[in-house]
Amino acid sequence: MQEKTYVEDVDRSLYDFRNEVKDVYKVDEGLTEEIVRQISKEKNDPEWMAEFRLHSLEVYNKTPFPNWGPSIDGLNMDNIVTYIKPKDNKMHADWDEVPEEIKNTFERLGIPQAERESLAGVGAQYDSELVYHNVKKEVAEQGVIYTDLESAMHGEYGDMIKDHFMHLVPPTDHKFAALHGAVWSGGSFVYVPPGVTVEIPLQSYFRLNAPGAGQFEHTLIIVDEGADLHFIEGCSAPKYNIANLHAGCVELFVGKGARLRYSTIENWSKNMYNLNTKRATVAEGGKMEWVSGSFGSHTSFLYPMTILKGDNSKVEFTGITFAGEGQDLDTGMKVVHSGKNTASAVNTKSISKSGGKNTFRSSVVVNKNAKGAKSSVDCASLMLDNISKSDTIPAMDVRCDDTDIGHEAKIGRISDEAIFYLMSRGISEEEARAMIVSGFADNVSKELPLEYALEMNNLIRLEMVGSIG
Amino acid sequence: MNKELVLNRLPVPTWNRLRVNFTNAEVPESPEQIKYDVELPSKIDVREEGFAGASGQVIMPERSAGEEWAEYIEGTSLEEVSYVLGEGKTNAEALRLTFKGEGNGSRINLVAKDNANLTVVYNMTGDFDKTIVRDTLISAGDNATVTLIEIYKLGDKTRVVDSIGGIYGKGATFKLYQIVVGGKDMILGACADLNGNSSGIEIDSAYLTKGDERIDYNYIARHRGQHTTSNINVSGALDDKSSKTFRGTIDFLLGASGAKGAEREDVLLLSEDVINKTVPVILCVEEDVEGEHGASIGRISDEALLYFASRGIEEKEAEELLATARIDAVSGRIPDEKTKKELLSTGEDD
Repeated sequence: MQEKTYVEDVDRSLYDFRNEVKDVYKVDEGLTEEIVRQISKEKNDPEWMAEFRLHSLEVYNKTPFPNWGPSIDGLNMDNIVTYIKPKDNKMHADWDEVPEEIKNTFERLGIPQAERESLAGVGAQYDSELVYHNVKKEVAEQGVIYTDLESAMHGEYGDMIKDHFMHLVPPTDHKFAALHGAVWSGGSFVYVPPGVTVEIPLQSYFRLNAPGAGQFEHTLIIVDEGADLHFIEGCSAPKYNIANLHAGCVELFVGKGARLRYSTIENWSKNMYNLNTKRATVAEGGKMEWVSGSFGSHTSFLYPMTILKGDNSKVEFTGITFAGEGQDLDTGMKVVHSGKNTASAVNTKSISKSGGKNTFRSSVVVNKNAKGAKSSVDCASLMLDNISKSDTIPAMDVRCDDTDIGHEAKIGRISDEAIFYLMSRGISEEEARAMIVSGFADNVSKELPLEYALEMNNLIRLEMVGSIG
Repeated sequence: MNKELVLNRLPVPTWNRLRVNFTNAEVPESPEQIKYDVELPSKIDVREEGFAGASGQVIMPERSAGEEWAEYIEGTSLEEVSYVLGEGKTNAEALRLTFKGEGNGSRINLVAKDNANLTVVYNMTGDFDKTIVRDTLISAGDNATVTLIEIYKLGDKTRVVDSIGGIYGKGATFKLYQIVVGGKDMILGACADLNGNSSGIEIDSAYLTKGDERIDYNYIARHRGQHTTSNINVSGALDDKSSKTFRGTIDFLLGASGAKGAEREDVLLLSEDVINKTVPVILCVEEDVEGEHGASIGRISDEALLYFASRGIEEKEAEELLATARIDAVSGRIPDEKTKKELLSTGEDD
């Protein structure tokens, strides 16, 4: 009988610690007009935002739940607290001023250390509010704005935010976009002026500590003409027995000839419903790069979308999803080719094990006037046992004759021949399997900054070198 | 009187705004029985009876057009006709059913007993201002082969819904050749329940659309047995304001260890007003399988055009040559000499 490698889930002990929920201000569970008004008042919203929230709530109430994708029956909005923050909450620019317990949380996650060693700026959100935001002096001197969205909304960038906020992802887009519009809180605003290259990445980290809570941060990034930025997003939460919800929203505006790389390592706990929306629009000659690693969550709906609006604009999407026991991760991407001579290149991998379910879902739309559009989508899925599930649901809608659209997908298991070959070179079977899975994930790790790539590889590798049974 | 149905559902839905999860079509509420011209080889029995599996068991196969279709077609007064080929037999001459325009609905069951080798040709040629509904159920016993050749050469007034479902025993094979070179609104598909170990489905399909013609495909291979295989190949060309949706699903179910599935679509776009939608799906709950799909969509490459130009062939002529080549390629692979000859000679006459 053939032996099989048993691959453990990604080790979550690094992230699975919790603080007692005490001395907090929070709204009641559920979603009502009163709660939305309460959040608006708490945030000191300008009038347009207060109205926007109430409009979004109306849209939410009229919009049905999606009739496709994973089940979200376990998510009851009546049980979700949409806003929660420490009572003495303030945002700081010095870690020593952050409340001890929260500071310790981010210390354990390695955020201050990463900031010192390899980042140009950091934002840290704890539950509904940012607790820390700082950007290196030399980067600020270049004119780069990296701050919390709410402060920016009341300052000199208020009009810019009003002109961009939920314009790419309107509340009518889907039910959870509407929910986000109604109760959003926290998140970052980045503006990179024309021609400025930010040499090292900025990072925002989102930590959801409270059980039964939702996190609804909004990230708005504008990379102006000819500018260049790498932005990293991280997230985690301790595991509880009740559902938590993440319905954030990311809107990215890539200017003419600009480049934005947006990297995410998602590590939410396995009680999290991750219903996040990310969207970018790219102007003439601009380039959007997505690097996405999805390891956590109970259920995910995650499809970063790119609108190639300008002529000669481009997008690259590189992603990996690892679904283990109890996880139903529906991930993928969307691209719309609108400008002339646009290009999209997609390379994704998924690994399913221990009853985990992976779905790769994508759409490539080529509009009528998108002459010269080129698209290449390549997805590969690895099944590590026969109690898991892996589906691939790509769609292409092409309305222009002058195009070159290619799609390739493969699904399978680790080949016995590859194992045999490595074992014939003196490598043990479990090491051989670990090497093959690490190699399978290589497309993402090679795109990440070294520290993050090592962390991701170690997470997979440590667990791969487990037991053979 | 007509009624509207939801047809050709994608086995798992995706974003509604893409409008690929299903299609809608109006079908006649009370279709009249089609009177085919039938060329019946002597070895084939004709029975006016409902669908029965090759081994006698009655397990209804899943139909490609879906559940609403099944309810509709079973609710009509159309008579079922079963063509049965006995154990170990081969019909050297194909069973030919040619549509001459009379009636607009049929229910046909094709049954190949163990080790039998059944070949059937449906020929739908002409222009008829009507909607034709056709339902075919297939049962192939152990090591049997059913080869179904469907030729649609219709005018721009004819609308067709053609649903195929089938159950396949150990080592059984279903080969489908489907050629479409006309028809206002063509809703086609085939679903195969690959129950028997080492059973398989091979689909070889080609199309040419012009004007405002529309084709909507739904091919589904359900891999249930071990070492089952599926190969779905579709190629075609879209011109003028025509449109096409291709859904192809390879479904690896638990127990289908050693199964292999592949689907490939190749689309040539000849006009800036065409709409092409492609949804190649793989569903998998079995570890020991190999599945792959690929799609290539676009116009003739500059290199190919240059090659043609160097031989004095202009762009429009090159497009026609390459579009016709897709039909000819499938025609050339049809394992029925008479049909092959008819198709290829028609091409030469044109």
